[in-house]
Amino acid sequence: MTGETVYARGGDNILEDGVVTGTAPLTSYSLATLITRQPAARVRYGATTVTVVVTLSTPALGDIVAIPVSNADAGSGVLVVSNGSGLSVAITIPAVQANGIPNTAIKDLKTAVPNAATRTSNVWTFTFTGNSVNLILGGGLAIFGPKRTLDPDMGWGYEYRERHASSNTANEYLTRYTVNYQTTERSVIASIRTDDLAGVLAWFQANAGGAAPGLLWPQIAGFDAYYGTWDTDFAAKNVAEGTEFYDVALTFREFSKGLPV
Amino acid sequence: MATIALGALVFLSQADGSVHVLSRAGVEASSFSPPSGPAGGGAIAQAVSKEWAVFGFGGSKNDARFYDATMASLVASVTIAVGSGRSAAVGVTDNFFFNQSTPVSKYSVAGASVLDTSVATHNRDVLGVTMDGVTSYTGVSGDPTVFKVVIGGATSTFIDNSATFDQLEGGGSGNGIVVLQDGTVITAWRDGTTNDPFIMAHSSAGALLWRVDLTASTGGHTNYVDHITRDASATSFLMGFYNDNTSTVYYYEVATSNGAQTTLFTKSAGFSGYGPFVRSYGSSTTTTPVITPVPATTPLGPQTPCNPQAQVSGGGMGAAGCNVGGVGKTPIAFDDYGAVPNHPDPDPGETLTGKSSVDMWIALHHRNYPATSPETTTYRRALVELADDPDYHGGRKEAGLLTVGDIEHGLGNESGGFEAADCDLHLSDAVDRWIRTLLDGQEIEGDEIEIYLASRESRDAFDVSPHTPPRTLMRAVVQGPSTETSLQSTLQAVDLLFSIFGPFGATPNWPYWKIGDIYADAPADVKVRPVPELYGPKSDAGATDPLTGASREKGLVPWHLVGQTTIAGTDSSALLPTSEDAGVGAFDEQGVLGGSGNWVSNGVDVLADPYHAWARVVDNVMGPLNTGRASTPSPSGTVYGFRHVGNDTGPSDYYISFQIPPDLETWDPFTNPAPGRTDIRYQIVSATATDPFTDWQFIAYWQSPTDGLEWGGAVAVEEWDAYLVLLGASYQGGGVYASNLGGGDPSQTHDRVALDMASRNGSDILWPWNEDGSAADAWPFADTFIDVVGSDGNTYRLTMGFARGGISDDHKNGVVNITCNMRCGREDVGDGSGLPLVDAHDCEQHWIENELLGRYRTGLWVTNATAPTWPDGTYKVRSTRFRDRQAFTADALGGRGLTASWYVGESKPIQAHIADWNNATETALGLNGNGSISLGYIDETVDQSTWPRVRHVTDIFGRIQARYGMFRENAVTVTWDWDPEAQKFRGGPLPLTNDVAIEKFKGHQKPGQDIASPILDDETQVRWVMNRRLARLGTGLTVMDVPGTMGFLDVDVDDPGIQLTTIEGIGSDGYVDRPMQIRRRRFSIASRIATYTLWDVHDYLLATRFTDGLARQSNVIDTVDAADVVTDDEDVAPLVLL
Repeated sequence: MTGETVYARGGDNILEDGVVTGTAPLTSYSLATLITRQPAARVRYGATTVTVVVTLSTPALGDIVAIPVSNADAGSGVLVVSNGSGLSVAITIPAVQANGIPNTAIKDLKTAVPNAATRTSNVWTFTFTGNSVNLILGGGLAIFGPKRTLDPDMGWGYEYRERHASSNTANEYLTRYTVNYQTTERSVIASIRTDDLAGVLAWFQANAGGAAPGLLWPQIAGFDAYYGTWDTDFAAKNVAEGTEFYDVALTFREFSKGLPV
Repeated sequence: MATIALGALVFLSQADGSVHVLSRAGVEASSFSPPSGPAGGGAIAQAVSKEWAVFGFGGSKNDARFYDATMASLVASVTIAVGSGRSAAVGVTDNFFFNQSTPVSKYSVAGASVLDTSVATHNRDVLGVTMDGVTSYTGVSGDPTVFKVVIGGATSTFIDNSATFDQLEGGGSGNGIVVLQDGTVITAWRDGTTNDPFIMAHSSAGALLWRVDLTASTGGHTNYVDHITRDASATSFLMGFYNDNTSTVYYYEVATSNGAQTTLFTKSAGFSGYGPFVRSYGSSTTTTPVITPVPATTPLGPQTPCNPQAQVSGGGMGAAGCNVGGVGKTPIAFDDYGAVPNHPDPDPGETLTGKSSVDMWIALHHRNYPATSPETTTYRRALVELADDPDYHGGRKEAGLLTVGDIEHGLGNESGGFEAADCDLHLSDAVDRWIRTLLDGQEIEGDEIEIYLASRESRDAFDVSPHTPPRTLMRAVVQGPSTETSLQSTLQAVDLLFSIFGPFGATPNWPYWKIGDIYADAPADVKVRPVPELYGPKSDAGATDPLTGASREKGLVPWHLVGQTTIAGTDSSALLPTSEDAGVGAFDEQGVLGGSGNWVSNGVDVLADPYHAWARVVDNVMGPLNTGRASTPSPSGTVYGFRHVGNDTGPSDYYISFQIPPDLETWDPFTNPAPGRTDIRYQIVSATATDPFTDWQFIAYWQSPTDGLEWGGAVAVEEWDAYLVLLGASYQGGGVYASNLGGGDPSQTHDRVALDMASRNGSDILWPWNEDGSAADAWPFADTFIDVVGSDGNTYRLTMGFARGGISDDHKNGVVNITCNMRCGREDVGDGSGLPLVDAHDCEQHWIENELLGRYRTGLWVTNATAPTWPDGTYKVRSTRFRDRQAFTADALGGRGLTASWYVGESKPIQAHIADWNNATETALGLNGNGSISLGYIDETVDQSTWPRVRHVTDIFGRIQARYGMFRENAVTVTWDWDPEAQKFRGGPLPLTNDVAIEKFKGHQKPGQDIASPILDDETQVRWVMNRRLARLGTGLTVMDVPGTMGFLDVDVDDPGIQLTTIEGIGSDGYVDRPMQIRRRRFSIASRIATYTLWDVHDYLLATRFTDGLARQSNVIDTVDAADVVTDDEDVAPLVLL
């Protein structure tokens, strides 16, 4: 399946300046960790039913929900996102990767609830109910708004990459000593051929280089939604002398999610 | 924690709960924070038995803490159930009382509630309790009423000032009600009309005795009165007054009789933060002699070549006349021997062999400043967030650790020197500015830090019993924090010992303390000397002249002159009392005739006049003084002059009437003498009652300040020269050696001779022991040690001696200095009551735990309960290695094995001391992975086939490098048995060689540095140790660096060793299960590669296992059938079969 490619800028996360309340986590964990920019950070609960409430200073539009890390059961029966304007949407938790690292749970609220007023609120609630084990959430909990999509007319192509953290040493007998650090880094190289170099450069300048993580969600089978940042370097290569076409490849690099949950 | 002197003013800081000890003049002698004390101080009290109680203030007002006499040890910690204890008083029954918004409560000194609070119903915040602990007086700050409450009983109104709207003061921090020992109730008030402060005195029956305004100033209104001095007949009490208009605190002495005030001192500029205060009973039960500077010595007579000395000196050392000392000595043996605490080894932690995935984190224990409760905050950081359950080692470990440098530690380097362990930690401050925040006002340097490794499986199994702890990579101390750009920071973690003597440590040298720290007025040449210490015996008793065989003892332990003192009761023939004992009982009643005619003061002038005291004397023992102030003596025209009168029914041989100058308010001839004063006078009064006047049985006439006899000139108080011998209590001393004064002919050379202690001890020498180590009757103190409050304000426990007359003059003049023998220095308790410590490794451990780590000054030695530990309870010394090594030497040598005779009289680098121990015991002192100080050694009697195996094919990853013949030493010369007084070794020099090694080395003799052991004193032991040294170094060390997997971390540097199989080893087949000792271990976090530095101990094991091992060593080659080691001894079979 292919669809529009959704992306978000770092500044689009309406939860960043919110105040987190709700079910108290275990000792030594803090609710505030949930909205830090680190999916590798963790908040552990001593319960299978957990409520997380993020209160904003002013109502804000939320179009895309992204939960980079949780140990919630796969399926749509555990998590509901709601707000103070009557929105209530079940979120499907994807199955974890084969290495145990969770995929990003993501939902397009704009599609599910077209009414923008319903998607605008200063109170956003994540309700996890009846998980099979005590809940663990990672940092980087995000609701992005407004929804942004890449211009399909530019013909984006995507290349998937994944790197596992481990080290290998072989001795004289070719016996291997392998250390597995149990973390991965995923990235997507998005490439286009364009004759609008100035326009692409302007897009890059608007979206890359920020410290706050954003989102890239190609909605292509095999591609997850990635919570991370675009690489900071921009390069455009002229396809052939005398033409106005340029090849541009931009890399979006997902933040490491830490050890498998 | 300093000893709190008798009579000192002890303040509790309202701001932070710290304790400040001040003199009556307001000079702060010391301050400290009691362990685990409340964050703010609300009330402080001291029981008669000298224990202390501290009650919290503000947010910690529910906290009550109970301490020992020095406030160094927490006895009990109690949370008050409801309300708080901001006001407190103490009764003679050794209980603590407090009251706030709860009923009056009563706790024992052990912290147990001993009062059923349900029957005491008054809720007040100001409290006073009678000295018998029966009755309390309570009120509420700001109220006009004070109630009288029988503890646990009836309540009645005691003072009602509601008509004048006066308001009771002293709530919060401080106390506005005090009950004097005669039952008089002192209360502090604010005038309801003028708002000015005043105090009132009421009799126990409620009658107003007097009311006086505070003279300091008006307008302030924060009053508090301390607990009254508990002297037998106090005539004054102390109180504080805080004027919040001027932010000034006034401290008064107030006359009990009429409220007249004398300002002791004032404080401002933040001093108002100090809360209540009490006057201390002191914290020591031992009488401490007061040492005064040494005056110029008495010039000698015509003796030559000595000249009179105009300059005071300590007399030096080594002046023994013609007695240069003999050879040999009589071994000292005891029936029983002491021991040092043996701590359990920590759990080694998770086994890492075979693990492919482990995570690492650090735990930094930061000691908060100012002190808080708990004292430390623990920060945990990891390379990646570790979402652990709260029950697993602190729960969550946040990310923030960027890199960790190699972690390396070892048991000394290849040459036997100490090798510091360290590790650099690189952290991110970007998320929470952790390090930068701490550096702003806090001190990170010196905080303790741990580095752990654990697998995910182990962390997830936190609730599985038995719990597997993580593998500890290092426990260390933070030094040299730094920050760098991009919000990064770096900490260096160094090992425990290096943190002491390293460039950032407290001191590079030991002993830490100098005599001048204790006696600032000691002679200049003495002050600069370190306070000497002794482990084991140091004696030449039994030494003989090598030519004539005549006795030639001279004493090995020097005495150091520190000053002069007066000591009561050192003349058994004295007519006056020789000691004081409360059991004799105090004089019943005293009075005065001839002055104003009444036993009352006449106001302010009384403080300018002498006062008087009666004492009862039975069998030369004096009872407590019955002291009181009186009016001006001898009014003009009075026939009988001033008459000090009294009544007494107790048995008595005679009475003494003392006349005491007004400035000596707490004078006592025995417990608080004033040496050098000539204006303390006394008269002897017959025990036969004269009944000269109505109501008075006894009388003493005083007409002027010079009447009677001078007490300071009385023979009961003797003047002595004081000599410091050793730091700490000692087990047993021996004989004392001093000048023979020329045998009565001053012109003859003065020789040092043994004193006949039976006749001299108590005459011109004072020493706690007889020659045979038994307790000497002449010693006038309760203990063999003396606790001295040093010039630096710290208390030091000392072994001391005293001398006077010619022998002391000869010492001071440098003619013949005084020495003694010590049958044994350290014992295993710390107050002289323990058993002797002589086993070398016991002494070594004791030194590390008490001296190096504990920075010992006074008190008892550490026990298992008090030995230094890391924050997680792991002992900082792995004592089992010391015990095992001692047992090994006992098996090898017989008897107790290696023993120590270690006198340290010169301060030198700690590394040098460690080298002395390593050389003396053929061990290596260092740090293991647990951060514990441990011993490395080889025990050839164990079965090496049980040691873990390291195989090249599966375990080694990296480059192997070997070095041969390192530190070759096939000859050595050794001296031993240090004579600290003569500054020379009594044993040796003794040359020893490894002839096999010399022959193998083409006949070259390669000696190492001469070994001079200040620890060993027995030639048999010296030979055993040096033969093992020559076996180890004879052909040089074979050392190999071997890198491998994380599984290497399962074997620590102080474990016995490993068996190595590698084709890289020497011989036709390389090494096959070759016994190797781990000298050093390094772990790279980045690569997860651990590297051993191994010592090939194969030859050493052979050489030490057999009596002719050195000869066999060169012939034993793994594959040579002709090797002459043929044995059926299973213990050595693994070696032979290699």
